[in-house]
Amino acid sequence: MDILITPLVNMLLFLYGLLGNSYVMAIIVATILIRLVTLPLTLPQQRNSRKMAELAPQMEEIKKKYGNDRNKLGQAQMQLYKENNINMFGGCLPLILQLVVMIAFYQALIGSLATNPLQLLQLSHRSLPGLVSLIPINAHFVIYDLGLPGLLPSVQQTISPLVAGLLGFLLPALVVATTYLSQKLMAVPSADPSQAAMTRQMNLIMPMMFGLFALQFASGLSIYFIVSNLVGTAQAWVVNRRWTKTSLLPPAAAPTSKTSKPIAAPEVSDNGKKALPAKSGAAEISKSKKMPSGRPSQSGTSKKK
Amino acid sequence: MIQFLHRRWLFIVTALIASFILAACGGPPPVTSWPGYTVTNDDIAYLASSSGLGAIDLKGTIVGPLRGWPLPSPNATIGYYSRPALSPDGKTLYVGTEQMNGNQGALEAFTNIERSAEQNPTLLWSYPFTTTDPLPGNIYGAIVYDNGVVYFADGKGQVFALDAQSGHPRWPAPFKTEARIWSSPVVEAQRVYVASQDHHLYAIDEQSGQQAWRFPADDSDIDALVGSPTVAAGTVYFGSFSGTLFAVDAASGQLKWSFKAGASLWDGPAVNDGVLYFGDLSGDLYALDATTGQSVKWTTKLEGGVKATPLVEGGVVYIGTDQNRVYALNQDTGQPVWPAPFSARDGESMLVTPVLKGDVLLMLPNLAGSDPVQLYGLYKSNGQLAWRYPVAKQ
Repeated sequence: MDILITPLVNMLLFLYGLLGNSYVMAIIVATILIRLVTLPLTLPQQRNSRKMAELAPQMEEIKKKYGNDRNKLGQAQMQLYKENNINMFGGCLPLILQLVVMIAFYQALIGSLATNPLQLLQLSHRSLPGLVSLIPINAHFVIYDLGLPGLLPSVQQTISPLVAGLLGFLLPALVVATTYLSQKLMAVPSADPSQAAMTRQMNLIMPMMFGLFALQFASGLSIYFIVSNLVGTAQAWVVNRRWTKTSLLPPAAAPTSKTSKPIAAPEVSDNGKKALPAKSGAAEISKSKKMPSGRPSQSGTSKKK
Repeated sequence: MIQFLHRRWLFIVTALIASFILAACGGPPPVTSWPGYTVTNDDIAYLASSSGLGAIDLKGTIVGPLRGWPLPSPNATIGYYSRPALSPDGKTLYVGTEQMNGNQGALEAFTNIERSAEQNPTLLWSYPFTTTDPLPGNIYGAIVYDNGVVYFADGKGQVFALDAQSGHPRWPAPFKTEARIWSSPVVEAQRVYVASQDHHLYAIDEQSGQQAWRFPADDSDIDALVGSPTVAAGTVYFGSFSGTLFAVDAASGQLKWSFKAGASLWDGPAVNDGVLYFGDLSGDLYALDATTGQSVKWTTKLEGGVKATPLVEGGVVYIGTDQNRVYALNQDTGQPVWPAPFSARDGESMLVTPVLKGDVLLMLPNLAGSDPVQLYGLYKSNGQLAWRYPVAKQ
């Protein structure tokens, strides 16, 4: 983890000095930079999601055909993903990496503030020599201490508990709202009812979960969440505008034909070993249904504008 | 299988794991180990740590706890981190507290602490008495007793002077600096000297609590001052976090000289026979002429950074590093006195000034995340372990 935390600590300190000793600005700019650096991870993930949504009708066909044979169903699904260049784990890995970055960022945030002597000692070994002149970092941001959850203790003591409670919920509420917004925009409408239901659940669970994080951890992490969500929302908006104009599936796999010819599951021999399919059937699935998001199925190869 | 590995659910599971990791590693992290200790002439070591206060009887062949000790912390959010101070009669102990999850602290005075006390240690007073008193922040720097007054600085950048008997403030208001103070005040010749992380060293009038001078007096910047200064022969010596050692005239606050070390400096130097002994956080130890600051007698590279003021006694410089090593070096040459430095267990940092008691060198290690603290006794002749004592049972 240190391999991530140390550069992030130095980035935060450098930005703090560069941006007029404003720690909140350092967090905002650092978050934007992190989102830019991780773009090669998040874009393929969004691309995968959209492809999977486009393949929902084919998946439905496969389920209908092999609903009772989980082994064959799984193999046919894998085949379909493979032929459409969908990496099943390409969706998970970036998400896990994003979480790793989030944890590292939080550690860097706490570490760069060095709110106690032991942390300052650790920081002295992490920070570049020129950056130690910035110590101590001023982590105050309006009514928050970015290194602590909730309000500044000095503010908390001067206002009524009710107002303090409401103000304490302000950043977590913003985290919930922006997480919901970015989830909503990033979620790809699915024709599969079970997946659509899951997406709806996720759109509620994720904001609540990040809201709880925001309540429990330092306010600086809330700023990270909010900015990260806003960047994610903007990214999703741009990507949606661009990708809704064309199918992302390979031409052969894109919904084309009105003829219905079910996909062939790979043969499974008696000893359980998979036999190679003679020819992909993925492209031969019926495309009589409308595409997700109400987009009519296209004929011929995918149109590019 | 694919259904089971649905990426969104995988994300939820991963996020939950992440939340546990965040909770374990994050939050407003407490100082789990930043202990301080003070050793009496009567061979008792009083220790302050996150779990509470301990008193170890060093007399005799068996090192053991004093009767009635340790005093556990009243609750899990309060820790004792500053080096305690003792009244001259050895009957009252003054110790600062840290309130985790917030920059709040208190100063507590305990009686019945001595070996001959017939009752268990009891709290004499605790400052602040009410919420209308000026409230101290976290106290990490050592407490100082001088002439009936207890001085300490806090994480809010304040310096307090309290009556040692009653606990009531001696100054109309605490002296305020612009940033937190983790160092200890030094009282010398009617002045209280304190280094603040607002990048200034202050001299305060002991009686009035008013500023006598500050260094630098103008707007020039010398970087944060984290450690305690050393005052000797009319000069205040202190190091900055960017690695400059300053010598300032104690009366006027005028700069005498400065010396650039290789890395960040924490506590001030030891002064002995006109030579300053100090180390930086990269592990370089210096012997420097105290008068001019220009002539380096010797330097040596240690394993691990040096945070504390070295102990210089009997022609030997004793110092620990943050990489679990304790060294004994010849005062004149910097050459090792012991066949090999003492190596504590992995992860233990030696961040306090050693204390010599007879033939034994006392050393208090920091082990991040571990409490109760340990106390080491090393033979001063060869650096071998004489004993190791657990302060309290978990």
